[in-house]
Amino acid sequence: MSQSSAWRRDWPLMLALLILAIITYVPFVFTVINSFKINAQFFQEFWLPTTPLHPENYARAWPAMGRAIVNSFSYSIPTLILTLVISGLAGYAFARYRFPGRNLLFISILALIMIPGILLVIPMFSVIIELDWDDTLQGVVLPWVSVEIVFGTFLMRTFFETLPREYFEAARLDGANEFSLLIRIAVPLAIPAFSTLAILNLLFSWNDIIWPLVAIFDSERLPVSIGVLSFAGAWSTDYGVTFASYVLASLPLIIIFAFTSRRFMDGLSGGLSI
Amino acid sequence: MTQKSKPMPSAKTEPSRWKLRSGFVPIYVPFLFLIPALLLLLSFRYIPAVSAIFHSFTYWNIPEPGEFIGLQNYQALIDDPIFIKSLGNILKYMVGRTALVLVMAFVGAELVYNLTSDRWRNIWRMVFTIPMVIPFTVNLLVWQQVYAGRQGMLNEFLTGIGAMARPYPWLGRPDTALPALIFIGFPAVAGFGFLIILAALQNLSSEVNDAALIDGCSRLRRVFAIDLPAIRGPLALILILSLNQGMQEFAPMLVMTQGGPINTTMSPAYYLYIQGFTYGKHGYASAIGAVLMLMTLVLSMFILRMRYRRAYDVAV
Repeated sequence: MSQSSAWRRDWPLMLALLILAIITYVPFVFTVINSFKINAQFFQEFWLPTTPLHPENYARAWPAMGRAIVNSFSYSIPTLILTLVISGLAGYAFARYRFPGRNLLFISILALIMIPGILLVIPMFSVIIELDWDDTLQGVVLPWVSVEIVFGTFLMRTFFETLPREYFEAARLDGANEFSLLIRIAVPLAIPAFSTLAILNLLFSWNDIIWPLVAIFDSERLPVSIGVLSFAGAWSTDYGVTFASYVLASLPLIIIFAFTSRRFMDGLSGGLSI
Repeated sequence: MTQKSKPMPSAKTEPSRWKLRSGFVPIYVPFLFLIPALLLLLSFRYIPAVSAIFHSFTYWNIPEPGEFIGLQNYQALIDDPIFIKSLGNILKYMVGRTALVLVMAFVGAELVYNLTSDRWRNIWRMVFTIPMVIPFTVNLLVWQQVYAGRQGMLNEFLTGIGAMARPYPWLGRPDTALPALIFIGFPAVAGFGFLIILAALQNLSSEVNDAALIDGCSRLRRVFAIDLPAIRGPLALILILSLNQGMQEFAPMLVMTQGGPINTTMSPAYYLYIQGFTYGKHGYASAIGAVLMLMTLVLSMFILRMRYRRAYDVAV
């Protein structure tokens, strides 16, 4: 089909998409524009950029937001690694071995999806209080991992089951032990599934509010999801600085997305349509 | 002659249950691989779940141990007007939000799917994926600014074009606060639903579409007659996820309205949080959680039954 007839066919769709995109993006573009204004400029001109720009808004927001970003990574990265390792091991065990209690175990893990997370927040809070784990890394990370390995085990099992048995049998005949079958054959083939899980995991740990809200008391240790909330509360009278903090909070994941966009999008749709 | 016929392959010819399918491996190997997962789930999922149900029958203020009080928490819940109101609120929120998200995700995905150019399809897919990586709290805070009474985007826009004489505090009035929460992120195209539906559409066989086109089926008719039935599976998945998430909704209320005005945006999950972590009534909060769990279970069963009563999926 030639270029022009494609356009003739597509222009109503493109127009509709453009309108949807504009409505979607206006609030965020507005936020970026106004993050460079001081209050006087904001009250004078609501929608459009004004000069001079005030990048010092970012300098004001940075100490608190930078700390929150570092905190978020310090919680998210261990969560990510543990989730991948533990889900990989469990999914592999369910996919490759037959053992007594296999189905019962798997169903009882899947059933956890039905339990609302918020119900478990209270008893989990009592557990970390008893262990004296409030304001600690493990107090945030281990409960998060326990949430994420449910779907993770399911995803990895589904993936490992698609791998042909012959690969493993051949390697076993060559004398490989069970652990090296996993490390040398299954894991390299499962990189796409692992990256899906990693992306969903990152979005979850970056966005979760309730658990850090409960498990962290020290405001110096708050992750981005709550740090931006408390910063916005404290600076609510200074619009520019507040908006700058929103932009800073959004940047890390946008940068990660920019470098991995292809895999990111495939991972998002692939992981959930299983 | 029947006795002489070849025996059907029976369970006996298969390796018995505890033997391993490929090769023989010490029995502890799979359990070794499962230990980390089981330990974590036991300490942070199973035991807390049992503990939550148990403590819903107690007066409990962490770190004190719970004191058994029978059904008193549940009786108090029935008589609690705020809790009852929160149930009505969440029902409206759940239905409204799910309808919005499902319809808009489908519309967005169909628009992109029907484009002729592959390049533009990828570009639009990217455009509607980027907002998903903005932190959820930031999204809520930005939308708080959209709805704000003073210096709010919606008010500035509506008064600017002359549709409204004076600004209106959308989140501050009982009649608009809950609808405002439902419409967060409008047009709500960007999200998991959009990506799932688009992926499902792109997996449909193009032959069916070509055949429909040759038979003179219009694009719009094809959307309803072919696409919609063919992607029922993913649609049901999004429906379940969205309803379940709506039932437990908590963050928009916490960030934007604190349940107000006059409890019109109070949700059970946020009420649980307040009762548990503001008032320290952890037993009462556990009872709210137990009711919430029961409702989630009933809802999921209901949807699955609806879906599998008459479903005969061909493609998905």
